[in-house]
Amino acid sequence: MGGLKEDGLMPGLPQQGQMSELQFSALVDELKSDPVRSTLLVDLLREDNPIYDQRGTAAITRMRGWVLLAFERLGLPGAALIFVLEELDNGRDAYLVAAAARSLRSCANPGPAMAAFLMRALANIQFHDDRVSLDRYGGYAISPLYRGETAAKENTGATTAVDELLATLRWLGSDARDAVPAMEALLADSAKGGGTFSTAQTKMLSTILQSVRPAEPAPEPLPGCCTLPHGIGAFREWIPASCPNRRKIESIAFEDQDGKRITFRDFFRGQPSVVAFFYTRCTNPLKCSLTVTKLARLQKLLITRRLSGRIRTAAITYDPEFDLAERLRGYGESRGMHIDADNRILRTMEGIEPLQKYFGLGVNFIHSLVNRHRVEVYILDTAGKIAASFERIQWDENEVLDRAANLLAHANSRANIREKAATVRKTRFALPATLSMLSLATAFFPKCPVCWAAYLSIFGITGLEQLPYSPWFFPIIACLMLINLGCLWLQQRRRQGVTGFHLAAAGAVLIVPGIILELGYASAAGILLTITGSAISVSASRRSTGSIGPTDFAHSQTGQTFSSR
Amino acid sequence: MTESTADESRQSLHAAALKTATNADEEAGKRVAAFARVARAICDGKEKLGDVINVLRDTRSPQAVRLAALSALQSASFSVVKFTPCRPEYLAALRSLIDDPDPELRQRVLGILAREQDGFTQQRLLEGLQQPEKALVPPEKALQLLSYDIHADAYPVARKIVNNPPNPAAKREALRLLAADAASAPMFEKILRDKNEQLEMRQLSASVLHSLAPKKLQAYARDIVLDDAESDELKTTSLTALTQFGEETAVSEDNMLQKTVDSLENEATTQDLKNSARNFLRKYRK
Repeated sequence: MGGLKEDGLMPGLPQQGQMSELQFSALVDELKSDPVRSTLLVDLLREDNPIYDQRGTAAITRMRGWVLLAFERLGLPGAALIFVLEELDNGRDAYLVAAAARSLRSCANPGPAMAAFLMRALANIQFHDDRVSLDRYGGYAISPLYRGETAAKENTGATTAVDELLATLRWLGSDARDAVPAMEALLADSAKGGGTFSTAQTKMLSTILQSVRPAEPAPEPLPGCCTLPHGIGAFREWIPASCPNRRKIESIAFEDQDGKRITFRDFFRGQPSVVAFFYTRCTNPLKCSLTVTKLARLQKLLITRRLSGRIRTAAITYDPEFDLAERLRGYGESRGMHIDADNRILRTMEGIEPLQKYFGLGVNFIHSLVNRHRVEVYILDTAGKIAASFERIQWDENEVLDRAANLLAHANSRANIREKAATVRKTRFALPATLSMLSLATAFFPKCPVCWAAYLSIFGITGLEQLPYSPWFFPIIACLMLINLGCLWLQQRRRQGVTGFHLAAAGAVLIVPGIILELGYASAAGILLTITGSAISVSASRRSTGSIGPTDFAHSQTGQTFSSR
Repeated sequence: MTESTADESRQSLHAAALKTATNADEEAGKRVAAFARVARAICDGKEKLGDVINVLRDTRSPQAVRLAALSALQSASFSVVKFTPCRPEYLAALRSLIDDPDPELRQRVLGILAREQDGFTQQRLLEGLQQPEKALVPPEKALQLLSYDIHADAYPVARKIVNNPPNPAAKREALRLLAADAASAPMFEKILRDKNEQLEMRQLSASVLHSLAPKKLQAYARDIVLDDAESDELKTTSLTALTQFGEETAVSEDNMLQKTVDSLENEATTQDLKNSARNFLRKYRK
């Protein structure tokens, strides 16, 4: 956006809608002759430049073509190279492709990676070629009125997209070596009668082939020799702070291909997503139709890599007013898209502007209809923030999927870390609490016959017999008494004293019928005997061993130290 | 006769026909007949193509001969692979004929270029609609040609023509062109509801709304069927829309609509409306 005002207009330009094509061509001519302002020409290649708002596609073609041709004189700056390659990659208009090919010849650093774009452009344009004039604004070649001249003479100065592409291929020289197999295939096709080049073009292609075909096997390419300059053909990384209007976008409502409503938050949060933009009335099969077909291929890869349902896909239309639900479904299905809750085709219910702002879409409109757009695919993270995007030239499904899979792995590892942190937090609070509870339980646990007798007495004193009848109450009391008697028996065996045990046993004999026959005095006498027996046993024990502390009993619970005593 | 001999024989016949067709001294009838036989030979070489193009562009040649030359070029263009090298020259030649004094030739040339979505042609057609003195063809024809490309920037001028039409045909063509413009849906609703509008325009609006705003069309179609003052033709259109594309639950539970269509089946004055009512009831009768 460098060089643009906040409203997207270039300083010194008339307001959008006020500039005629004639004024525009004059402006471009002015910029190209002013070395300081010539950098602004690159801004004029952006689809979303307000200067293209409310103009027909043919007008935009003329305007962009004239900008591309301006670089012929200036030299192609690095920032403009992507626009030239985009035209070669996806262009279907002979004028723009011819202008791009000619513009590329002014690049100071030709490289082998450019040959592939030129060959693709040849394949794309061969059936749509036209005679164009690159020397004047407008670009349409018109044969002058017939006055007996031959057609060849009349069209001097005019050219065709194929002619320009071949000239650029020749200009690449040995850098076009990688395209030798493709050139040979084209010539072989032509020889079989399937070629679409004129005799002169076929001859030129043969000459180029002869000049670039290596006499001996080419040496191994140096690392990095055949890749595009930095930043071209690579993913654009987004930093979270660069995603504007996040709050607004969250509540944006969509309608999907089945007419179901869903918000941005509902669909794009929770899992990474791959989002592509398109519209059903796009007339360039290398753009929207291919984009949706590639998204369908990506969905198949998701299934193959068992990521289906973990990474979402969405195709969003630029043209929500026309692309109603039924149209979206038909368009997606006919291009092999798999449609379900995690894979949808969407139209916004609130106009395209919020999405345009959020994604920074490369698109412009004439009323609600798209007049020009770029190829663009976005990868969103689990929070619905744009993590990466790939723009202008064709994207590779595997690369996009790898990116999304990385996000998923990253999100999973972050989730794991969060889970672990939560576990640590829980442990930090839970462990001391558990230890405290254990200490209390240990402190209050009946550790000796006296404790048992005391607990049993307390139950009696507090009037447990008055509690409503519970079928489980009697067995518990019986068990407790048996445990108490068991402890006393073991103690009396060690100390050779049986009084305590006998008293407690007599107490138990009284308690049981007391409870069954509801004889209060018998129960009271039984408890008294139990406590007395326990007390005698404990005092005898203290005399023989010194003391019994909680630790001793705790150990005895494990059955290790108890048996050794 | 071997295959190669047959080919040679055919080629010499084509060459002779092309010689006759491009010979300015030859009788016009013979030249027209010869052009009918040369289509396959036109792209055999750049010179042959140039010769045919020169006949087409030569205003001194008889109209019939020039039109025959154009037809021969059009026929040749169907052999896509063979014609592709000739295409750039062909299109450039056609552009030079946009201002030809012969209106028939001019209109045919404009038609070919408009189907190619040629920017130059669109520019000239729009110019003619905005400044009638520069018009190459009547406005209705220009609108029809512009409608081949939805991206042609013709909507603003088409809207102006709808509001202030030079003739009914131009208005109809402007409406047809706007059928692809989602922003024009409210205008089509207005025309459909306006009983003073011509029936043809209202029917056209109904079919456009089916594409641009199908739910709204369902509501209007219902109103039209229930309105006694509406024409039978429009009721027939509306009933067809409801039968084919109506929301099944809503329509079948609409007692008032059912009752009205019941009576139309028996009492309508036109057979078309009776048939439409019958089809409707066959689908939705409870």
